Amino acid sequence: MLVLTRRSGESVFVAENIEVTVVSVRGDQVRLGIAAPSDVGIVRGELVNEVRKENKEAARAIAIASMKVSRSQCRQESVLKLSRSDAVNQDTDVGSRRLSFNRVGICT
Amino acid sequence: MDSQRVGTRGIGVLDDGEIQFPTGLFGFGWCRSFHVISCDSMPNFRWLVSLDKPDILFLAVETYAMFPEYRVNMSEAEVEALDLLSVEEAAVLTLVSISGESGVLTTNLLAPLIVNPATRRGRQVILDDSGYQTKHAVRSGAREWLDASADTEIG
Repeated sequence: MLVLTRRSGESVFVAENIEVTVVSVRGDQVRLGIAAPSDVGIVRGELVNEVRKENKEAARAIAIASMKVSRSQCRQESVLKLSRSDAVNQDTDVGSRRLSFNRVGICT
Repeated sequence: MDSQRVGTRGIGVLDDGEIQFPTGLFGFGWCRSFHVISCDSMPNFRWLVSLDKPDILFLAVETYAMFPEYRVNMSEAEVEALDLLSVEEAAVLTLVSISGESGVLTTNLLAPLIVNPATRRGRQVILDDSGYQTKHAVRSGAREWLDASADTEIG
């Protein structure tokens, strides 16, 4: 990570079109001003981390809850079948487009 | 900043098939292509199967169908970045998880997936300052419900 020391009122540019200015420093709080194109998303870091964590938990919980014993095999097959049926012909592959989800015990 | 409410008429507009998230999902930057699969026994829910990494599977819900009062506000620039002609036509999905031993089905209202049903491209956005939670309860008994619902013929 690049670490820079800045004083209040000073700024840094990220690329040519994003300027981050230190507006004020008071105790352990720093106020930042960010000037960026309107299509650049600006979100507080803790929210990004929270959403990353939640996405991972969701993928894990759903995977555990919805898979048969040989889960990656089942998944791979179904994905291959789905991709192939889309690429080639929807009609010929309908019989094999079966995603089998869990009926065995669901672990935690 | 001007913002617009997104996806108000977008329920059921996203057909099954491939969709792209050019920047991936948070924490899954490498997962950019998914196959959307709806399931007759679970109306308003969609499976999202990763085409980049077959082990990755999400369950999502059509958020407006379940929470009509839900609000997604995006800036005009964010809407334009998705090439949306009409913001109301966007599909709004939120990812579903299962929490705790009792199996409460929750959905991430803080970070919806906004998908343009015409271009089939989408983005996961974080609704900063919205007050929405990552684990908004949908229903209890999630494991039994999923178990009973999910083993379904697709196609």
